[in-house]
Amino acid sequence: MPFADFALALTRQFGLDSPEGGFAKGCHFQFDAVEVQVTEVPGEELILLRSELGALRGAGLEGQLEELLLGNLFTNPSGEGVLGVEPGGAVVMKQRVAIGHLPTAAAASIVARFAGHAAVWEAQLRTRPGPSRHLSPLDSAAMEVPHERA
Amino acid sequence: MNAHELANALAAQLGRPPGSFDVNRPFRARIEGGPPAEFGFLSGYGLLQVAFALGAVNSGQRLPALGALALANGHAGEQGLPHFALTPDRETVVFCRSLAYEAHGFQTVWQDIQSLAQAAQVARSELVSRQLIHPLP
Repeated sequence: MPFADFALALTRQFGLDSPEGGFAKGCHFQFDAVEVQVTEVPGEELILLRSELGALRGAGLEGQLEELLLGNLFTNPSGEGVLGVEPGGAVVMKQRVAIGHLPTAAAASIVARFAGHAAVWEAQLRTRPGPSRHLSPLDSAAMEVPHERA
Repeated sequence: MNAHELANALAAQLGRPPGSFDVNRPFRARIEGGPPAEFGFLSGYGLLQVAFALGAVNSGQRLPALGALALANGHAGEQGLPHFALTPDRETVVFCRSLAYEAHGFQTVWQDIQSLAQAAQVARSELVSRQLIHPLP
């Protein structure tokens, strides 16, 4: 499935705004509370999902890292994404998804599930002592899993 | 292959009697060449979770150790590699992967488990040599 077709199907299935810059090899989709970057892995029928959940803070750093590592054991049981940190200190969730063998709707649903999982973690990290976006107000929508549009 | 078939095939492979592994409860086993492992079925997703216990966080290097594991996870998620996690005691480091089994035969899943065991052993050796963890007894 060409990446542009997949990205277009994703937009339609979940009623998302079209990404700025069109359906290029890397798109940013806004799912309610979180932004998900969807990037094509050339030649492998894979996509990479990435969502930035916040940034590490100096205070309580050890506790923040513990939470992320515990989260990878318990709140990530079905492989929705791996919680990690990037060298600049960004807290991220990432997942590689093979889309070549999946129907478009199923592949799009994986992206939405990833977004829902990321939203839960973004809110959890923001409202606890730990990684924070600093600027984001408490937003109940962050806990909502995106629903597929009929 | 469904969860029950995989559980029984795993039991046979590991020399255990049929029914040794309950698909509704986590179970432990040792894969040759790898650290102690815990398995758990997520039948609703068609996934077998595998977690290899690598060791305990070096308390004298706790922050660098946790930072190194979290950074490694940032890379692992991007590459589709196994990742690190902490168990509830906040001390034990495990090496995790969820394996899809429904569309595969047992030999494919078994090869994945063996590869994962070898990768876990390599990861354990590296973390021990960097003094980030102490090996479990």
